[in-house]
Amino acid sequence: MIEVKNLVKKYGSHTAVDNLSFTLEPGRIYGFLGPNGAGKSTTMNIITGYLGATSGDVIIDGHNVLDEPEEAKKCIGYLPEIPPLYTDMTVNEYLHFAAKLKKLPKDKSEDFIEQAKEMAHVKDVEGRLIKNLSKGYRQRVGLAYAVLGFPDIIILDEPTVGLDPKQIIEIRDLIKELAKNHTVILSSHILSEVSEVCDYVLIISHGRLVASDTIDNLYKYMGKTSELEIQAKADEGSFRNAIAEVPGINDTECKTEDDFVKATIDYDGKDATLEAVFYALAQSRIPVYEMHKITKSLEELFIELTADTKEAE
Amino acid sequence: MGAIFLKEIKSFFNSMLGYVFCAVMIILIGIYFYIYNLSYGYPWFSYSLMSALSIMMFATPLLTMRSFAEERKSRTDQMLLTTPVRIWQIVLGKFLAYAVIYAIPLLVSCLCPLIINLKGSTSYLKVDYLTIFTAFFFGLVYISIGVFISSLTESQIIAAVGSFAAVFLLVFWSGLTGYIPNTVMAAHIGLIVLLVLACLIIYALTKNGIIAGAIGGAGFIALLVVRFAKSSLLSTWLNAFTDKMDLSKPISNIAYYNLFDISGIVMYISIIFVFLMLTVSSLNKRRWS
Repeated sequence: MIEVKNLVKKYGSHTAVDNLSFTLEPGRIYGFLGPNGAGKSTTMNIITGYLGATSGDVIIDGHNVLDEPEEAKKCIGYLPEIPPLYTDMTVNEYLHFAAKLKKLPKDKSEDFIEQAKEMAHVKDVEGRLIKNLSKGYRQRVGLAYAVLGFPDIIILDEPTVGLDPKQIIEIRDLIKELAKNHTVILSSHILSEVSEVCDYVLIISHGRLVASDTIDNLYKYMGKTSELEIQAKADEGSFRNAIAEVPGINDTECKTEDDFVKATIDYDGKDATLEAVFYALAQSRIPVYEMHKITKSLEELFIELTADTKEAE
Repeated sequence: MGAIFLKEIKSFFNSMLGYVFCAVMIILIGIYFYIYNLSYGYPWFSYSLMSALSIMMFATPLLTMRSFAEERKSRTDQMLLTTPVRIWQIVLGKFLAYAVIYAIPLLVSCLCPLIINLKGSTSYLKVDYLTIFTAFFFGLVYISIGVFISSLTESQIIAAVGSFAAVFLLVFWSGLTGYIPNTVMAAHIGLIVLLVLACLIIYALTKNGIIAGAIGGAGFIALLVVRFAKSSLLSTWLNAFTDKMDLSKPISNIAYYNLFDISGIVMYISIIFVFLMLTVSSLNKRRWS
């Protein structure tokens, strides 16, 4: 479990992390979201003990990172933004070195290394020098380092950067697999990835926490009425006439293109309204070519939330 | 600590740097040994070693420039600092690795006094071995300074040039300090500069501005009082200091005058300790700024 209390980090006069507080429960996948320079990496670096906070506390499984750094660091596996690899070592040498640094018990470290190599799929390059590996493989070696010894908490800073689509899927599966027994925190700027992998999202903007909830709840937060997009073969006038009587419609915007009208209808979100629109158009003999609901994507949610804080400042 | 020590040694011999360092040292020691002892028949090996040690000016940066600058540049310091290893263990592990690599040419040079002994009737084994012993600590002082300078930057080149300049200054210390004018004013200014430096070091180590400021203030007043009470003391002090800081003194004492200077070795060890501490605090400071 990670407890972050009133974390502040200042670089000179610039405040990178501004009074951040949150608690992370074990066994979940947390997504760290935020625009560039929001303080994601800084926060992760503070949690892992690489950077010191200006003020505030980080408590990991009951150990304060500042007072008991060794105990706290033993609970964490960390893959920073740029994997910390010694390029003049082979993958095997590197992982053995990492096992010693992590102070894994000697009799078990061989097993741990084997498991880590299998999980990160680096078995086939184990004897090669890291400097000769491609970016994707380096990223995976970094991942093997992070999961080595299976610490309780695994922190991954943009783990899928530089990987090909197949590898991205593999890594996502790996993260889901890890989450069965570990707490996983990952930061990403790929929102679809976060919405696919994570149970819980923390959105950070300008060093402050602007939202922290499950993805479903975040959508509910939006609280906006739903929108419907229709493309039909009609002119604007007859289209508007046809749906004028339908209850539950708040507003209609139309655009005419050749013979077609493209309408965006702001409605109350009920399925009955959808059906009523369909039947109304059918009765007026207006052929519908396309009709779909617009759900807000995480992107829009994200832009909205992070834009809000800017205005507030 | 052991892991970092082994990793450093391995990486030295993977990257040729270790071989180059040892080869350069051994070749130079060999050349001086051949000229002084074998050609001219001089019975002291210590003379040859002293001449060969001037190469440390170039060899120290070779050994230490990578130590922390490279880690920082390639971001591997993130690995070292987020695993349960203490910072002093990292620093000590690296320093010991350099000490071992530096010891290799010196161990090889241990054969030279024996060769002199085999060839000639006169030899001075005790003096020669004590010189090699002192030379070991003497070189470690340079190495600790190089490690510290490397921890200040992420550029290996700056680290190398910086350590070269620092070692250069120490090598020519006695020559340079000879040019300090022998007036009360110069001595006063010199001592104030030293006081400021000392306060900065205290501040860097303790992060306590009040203590550093108080020591600085007290020192400043004390110097003023001494200047008006007994001004001759000032130049005596400055001279004593520049004399003590002449790092080559203990080693030339044994090499040229057959005086084994234990206090000098203690001084070497203290300087090494101070610079390793400074390295630890410079690594620590980077995390907090």
